[in-house]
Amino acid sequence: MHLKEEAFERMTVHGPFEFSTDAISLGINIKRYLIKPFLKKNLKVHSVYHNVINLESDIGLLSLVTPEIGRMATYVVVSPIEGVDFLTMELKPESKCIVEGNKLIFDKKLSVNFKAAEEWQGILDKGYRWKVEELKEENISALRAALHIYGEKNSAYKRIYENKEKQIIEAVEKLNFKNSKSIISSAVYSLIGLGPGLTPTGDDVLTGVLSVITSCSERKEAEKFIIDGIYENLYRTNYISGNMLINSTRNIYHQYIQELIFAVGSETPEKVMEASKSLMKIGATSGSDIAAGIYIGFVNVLEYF
Amino acid sequence: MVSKTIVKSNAYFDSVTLMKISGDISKLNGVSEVLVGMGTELNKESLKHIGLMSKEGEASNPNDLIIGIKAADEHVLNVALKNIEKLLTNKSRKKEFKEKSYERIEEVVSEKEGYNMAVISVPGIYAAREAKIALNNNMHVFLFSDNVSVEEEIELKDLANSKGLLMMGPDCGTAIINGIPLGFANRVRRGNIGIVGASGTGLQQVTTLIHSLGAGISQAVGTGGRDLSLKVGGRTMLAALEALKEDENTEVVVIISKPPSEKVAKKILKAAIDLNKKVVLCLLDSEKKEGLGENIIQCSNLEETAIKAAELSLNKEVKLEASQEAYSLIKEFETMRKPQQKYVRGIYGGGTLCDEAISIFRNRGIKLYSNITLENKEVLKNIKVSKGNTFLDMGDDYFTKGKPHPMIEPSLRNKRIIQEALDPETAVVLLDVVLGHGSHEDPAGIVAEAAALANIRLIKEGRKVLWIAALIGTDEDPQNYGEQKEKLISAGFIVLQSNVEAAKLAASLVEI
Amino acid sequence: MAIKDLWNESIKVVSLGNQGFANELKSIDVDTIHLHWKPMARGNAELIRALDALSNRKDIEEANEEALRRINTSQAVLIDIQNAIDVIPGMTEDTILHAGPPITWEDMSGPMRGAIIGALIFEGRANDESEAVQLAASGIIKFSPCHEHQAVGPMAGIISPSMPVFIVENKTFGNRAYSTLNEGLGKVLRYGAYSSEVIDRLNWMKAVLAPGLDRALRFSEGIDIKGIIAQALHMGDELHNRNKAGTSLFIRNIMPHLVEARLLSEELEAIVKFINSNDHFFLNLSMAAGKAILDAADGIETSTVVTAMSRNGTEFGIRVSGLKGQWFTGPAQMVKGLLFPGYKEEDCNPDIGDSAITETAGYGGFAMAAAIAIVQFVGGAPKDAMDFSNKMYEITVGESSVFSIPVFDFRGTATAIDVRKVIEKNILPQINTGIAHKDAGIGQVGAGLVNPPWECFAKAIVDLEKKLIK
Repeated sequence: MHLKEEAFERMTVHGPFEFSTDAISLGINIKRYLIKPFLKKNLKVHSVYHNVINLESDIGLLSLVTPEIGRMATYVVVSPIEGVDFLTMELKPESKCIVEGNKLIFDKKLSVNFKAAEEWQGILDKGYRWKVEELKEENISALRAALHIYGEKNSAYKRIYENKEKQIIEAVEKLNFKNSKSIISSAVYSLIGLGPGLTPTGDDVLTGVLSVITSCSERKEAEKFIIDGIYENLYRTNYISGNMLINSTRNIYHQYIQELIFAVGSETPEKVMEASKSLMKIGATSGSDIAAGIYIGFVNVLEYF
Repeated sequence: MVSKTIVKSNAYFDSVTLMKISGDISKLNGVSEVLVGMGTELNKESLKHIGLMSKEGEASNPNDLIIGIKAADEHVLNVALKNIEKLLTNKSRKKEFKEKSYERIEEVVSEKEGYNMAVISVPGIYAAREAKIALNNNMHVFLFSDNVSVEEEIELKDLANSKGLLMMGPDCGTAIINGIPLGFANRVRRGNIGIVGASGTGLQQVTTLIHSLGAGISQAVGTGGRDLSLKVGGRTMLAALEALKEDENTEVVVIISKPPSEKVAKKILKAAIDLNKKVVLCLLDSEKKEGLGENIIQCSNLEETAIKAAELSLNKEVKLEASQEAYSLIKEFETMRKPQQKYVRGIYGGGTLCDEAISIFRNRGIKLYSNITLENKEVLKNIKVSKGNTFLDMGDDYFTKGKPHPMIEPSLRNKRIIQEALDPETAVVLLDVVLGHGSHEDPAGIVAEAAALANIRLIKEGRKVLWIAALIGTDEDPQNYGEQKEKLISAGFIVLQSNVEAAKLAASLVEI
Repeated sequence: MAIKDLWNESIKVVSLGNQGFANELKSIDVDTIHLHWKPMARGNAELIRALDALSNRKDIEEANEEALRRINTSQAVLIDIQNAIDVIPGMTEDTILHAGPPITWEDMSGPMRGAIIGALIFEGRANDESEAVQLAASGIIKFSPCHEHQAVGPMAGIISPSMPVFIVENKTFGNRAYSTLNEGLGKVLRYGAYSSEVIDRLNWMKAVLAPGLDRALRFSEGIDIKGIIAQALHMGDELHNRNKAGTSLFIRNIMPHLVEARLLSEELEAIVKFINSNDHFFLNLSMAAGKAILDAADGIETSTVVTAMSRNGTEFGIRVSGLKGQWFTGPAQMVKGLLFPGYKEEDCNPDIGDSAITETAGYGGFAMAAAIAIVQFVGGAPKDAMDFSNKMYEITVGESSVFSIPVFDFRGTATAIDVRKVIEKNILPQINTGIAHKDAGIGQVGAGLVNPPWECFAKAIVDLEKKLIK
C-alpha cells in the first residue's frame, strides 16, 4: 500500500513526463536564484516560441532556450529534444513552473534537469570594462563595415544610412552624450516602442547604445539620464522588450553583445567583423539594430571623449 | 433511411486502419451501419449481413476497397462519406510524410520510376562504381567526383555510349540540362544555344554572359576536365555534339575546350562541321585553326564566345553593359597611387577564369607569376608570397588540401586577399565572385568583408588599392545579383560581368 | 535509347554525396532523392572489388540455396553416448581437442590452460599442475580444434580421450557431431578449474552419469534435439545463454527412459539431481545439434555460407562452406554486458567457446527476440533484443523452416549467414554469450553481447574471390 502512494506522489512531481531534457548551462543570475533553497520561487510561463520559453519570476524575465539562441545571465540553455520544439509541447502561458530539487517542472509536459549544467558568465558579467584611451578607430571602422555589408535591409543602420527614417535619425542625434538630461530623455522617449517586432527597433538601438555606456570603465552622466528615461517610458513597449531594457540598465546583456563590445574595446578588426556577424544573425532585424546602437554608442564616445 | 455502397478499385489500406475508420464513422449521429473494408470474403459476408451488398460489392476482390453506409438521411450520408474520404487520405498522406530513406541507387530504381539522372559526388574511389550502377539502371550521370582513373573513365563513357546515355564527368562541376542547374551552375534563360564544355567555371561565365546579353540556353553539357585528353578522346563531347545535332531547340552550338591533343582536336572539329549548325568554337589558349569554313566561328576567350553566340542566336549585334562606377574609382585611385604600387594580384576561385586572366596578360607581353602555370619562367617559387604580377588559383590542391573549395567556403580566400592588398607593391586586386547553385549564399559579402578590413588598414597607411571583381551570375540566381553587386560597389569594387573585361582593365593599369 | 531523348524528359534526380547539390535541386522543385549513402565494406576498395566480382553469380546463389536447404532439412537426434577416443574421428591418446580455431599452448588464455591441466590430470597423464604444464608444453600432446573433428565444446571446450561424449546424428544426411556432457556452473573444467572436486566430478560423470544416460537412450529411438530446440524457442529460450526450457524438455523426454532403464536407485537419484540442478545442461546438446546441422552444409563448392563461428579465447575463427577446411581468424573481442556483483571489466576473458555454433545455425543470438527476458542478463531493453534479431535477416540467405519467433508473427529465424552480405552491409552477426573470468578456474562472471571481428569475413571474401574467379 505504501508503495502505491509513494508511486502516485512520485508521478505528480517526478513524472512520467511527456518530455524531459537536461540543461547545458545556467546563466549566473538564474543559478543564484534557483540554488537558494529556502526562497520560494514564483515562476510562471509568460510566452512560448519554437526555441524559447519566457518565464516571469521574482527577479524579472528569465528564459529557457535551445543552444543556437546563445547565452545570457538570465538564460537556461537546454539540450534540444529530437523532433520536438517548445511549441509542439503545448505548454500554456500562465501555467506554473515548479522548482523541485534539481529540476524545473512544467506540469506533466516538460522536466528540465539542471544538476549537471555548467555556470555561464559573459565577459562583461565577469567584470571586463573597455577603456576610452584604448579604443581603436579601426575597430569601429570594422563595425561600420560589418553593418554596411551584413546589416538587414530594414535594420536601423540601413535606414539611418539611407536617410530614410527621420524619427530614428533625430532621436539618435539627440542621444549625443554631451546633451542635457531633457534632450536625452526625449530621445529615449522617441525610441522606446518605435517600430514593429517583438523587440521594437528603437528598443534595440537603445539597448545597443546603453551597452556601450554601462560597460565603459568610466561612468558618464548620460548613462543615468538614459536609464531614468527607460524607466519612465517602459509602458510604451511590450513586456519582453521592456525586460530586455531593464536588464540593460543592470548591465545584463546577451552573449553576442558582450562579445562584440569586447572585440571593439580590446581586439582586432577581424574579431570585430566576426562578432558583428554573430550578433546580426539574431532575430530578423534585432541583432542588426542592437549592433547599430553599439556603433552609435562608440562613435559618440570617440567624438566626444 | 438511405444507404450507399461504393467500391474503389486498387486502393489498399491495412485492416487495422480501416477498422478504426469504421469505428469512428459509426459514432456519427444518424449512422446506423457502416463497413469500410477490403473486398475479402469475410468482409463481403458482413456486407451482406448488414444488407448493403451490391453488384459491385459482389464483384470486388481483396484489392478493392468497399465502403458501405446506412444513414438516417442524405445529409448524414454525405457527411459520413466526406469524413471517410478525409480519414483515408490522411492515412495515405501520413505514410508519404514519413519519407523513406534510401541508401542505394538500386533501392530507388526497384521501387520508383522515372529517376533518370544520377548526381554523384562521393569520394573518387567509390565514384566509378556508383556511376556504373546508375548507367546499368538506365540513368544519365552527372559525376562531380574527381580522382577517378582514366581507365574507369573510359569504361564508363563506353558503357554510356552503348546505352545512349549521357556520362558527364568525372570531374564535371557544371551542367544545365533542360534548364535545370546541376552542380555549380547558374539559373539561365532558356533559348536556342547549346553548349558543350570541359570547364566548370568556363561554362558558368559563358552561360551567364549569354543570359545578360538577352539570349538563352537549350542545354549546357559538362564533359569533365579530362574528356579531351588523348586517351579519353573526347568521348562525351562527341556524344553530346551528336545529341545537340538532333535537338531541334538548338540552333547555335558552342564548344568550350582547353587545348586538346591534335588527334582529339581533329575529331572535335570534324564533329563541329558535321553539325550543320552555326558553331562558336572557343579554344582557350590555343591558336586559330585554318580552313574550317564559315559556319565555325573561332574565339579565344569566354567573353568573345558568349557575344558571338548571342549574336548568332538573336540575329543582331549585342554589347555588354559597361560599369558605371569604373571611371570615378579609377581616377580616385590614380590620384593616390604610390610609385611602388606596380602590380596586379589576381586571387581566383575558378581555375579557368584564372587561366583566362593569365592569357590576357601573356598576350600583352606582361610578365607574370602563378601557381597554375606550366611555363617554367612563370612559376611562383614561394606560393605563400606573391611576386610581381601574380595570379593565384585558390581552388588548386595546394590551398584546398583538407579544406573545402573557396567556391563553397569563400572566407578561405580572405586572408590572402588582405595580404595582397596590404603589400605595398600591389596596385590592383583582381578576383572572381561566382553566384548560382552550389555557391555560398553571400559570396559578395564575404569578399566585401576582406576588402573592408584591408581598407581600414590601408587608410592608416595613406594608401589605396583598386579593387576589381568579375561578378559571375544572373539576375535569376538565388543570391540576388543586384544586391551582391551593390555590396561589392559599396566596398569599393569596380564590378564587371566578364572576367575578360576585368583582366583587361587590370592589365591596362600596370602596362608600361 | 539515345541521349537526345533526354532533352524531352522531365528530370528526376538521385543524388549521392554532397547534400548541398540535392538541396539546391529541391529548392527549385526538382524531384530529388538524396541517398543516405555509405561506402560498402567499410570503404575498403579491395573488398568492394571482391564483392562486385562475387555478386550476381548464379552458381553462388544456387550453392547458397542448397546450403540453406540442407540446414533446413537436417535433423539432429541424440542416439548414443560413448568415450571420445572410441568415436571422435582423428582422436588419439595424445590428442586434446579445444574450442575455437587452431592455437598453441603459448597463446592460450587462462581458462583454456586450466581446463587442459584438469584434463591431463583426469586422464592420469599428470599428478599436479606443474607436471601437467610441463606435459602440455612439451609437444607430446596434440592440440586440435573440436570443429575439425566434428565436435564442439562450450567455453574452453576441452575434450580428452577418456571423456564421454554425446553423439548427435543428422538423420537426413548421415553425419554425426560430438560434445561433452555439461558439468554444471561455477568451478568446472570448462572455465579452467582443475581442483580435486572438478576431477572427482568428471570421474563420476564418466562412471555413473554417462552410462546411466546411455542405458536410458537405448530404450528410446533417440531424442530429437532439433525438435526440442524448436519448442524451447517458443518457451523463452534461445538455446545459447538461456537453456532452461530446453533442459526441462530434455529431462521430460529422457525421464521415462531413465526409469525404464532400471538403474540402481542411488545412481538414478544422483543422475536426476545432477541434471535437474543445471539449467544449462541442454547447452552441449544444443551445440552438438547445430554442429550436426551445419556440417551437412559444409563443402558446397561455390557457397559463401558460414558453417562455423568459434573462439578459443584469443582468436575468433569462421569457416565457410565453399572453402572447406580453412579458418579465417581475427582477434577475439571483449563481451559487453552485465557482470555479476563484485566483478569488473578487468576480470573478463575475451570471447571463448564453440557455442557460437548456435548463432551460426540460426538460433542463439539470432533468436534473441524469442527470449526477450535475456536482456536481464546481457543488458539493454526488450526493444534491443528484437532489433538485433531483426537485423540478422539482412545478412542471411533465408529463414529457418523449423525455428520460428512468435513475436515476429512466427517468422523463421535468420538462417545461413552469407559472408558477402556481412561485408556489403557492414552488419556483423550478433552473438550473446557468457563471460569467463580470465583467471583459470573462477567461473562465469557475467553475460553479454559480442560480435565476430570484421577481419574474419574480410579475409574470407578475399579468398572466396580468388577461388571463384578463374
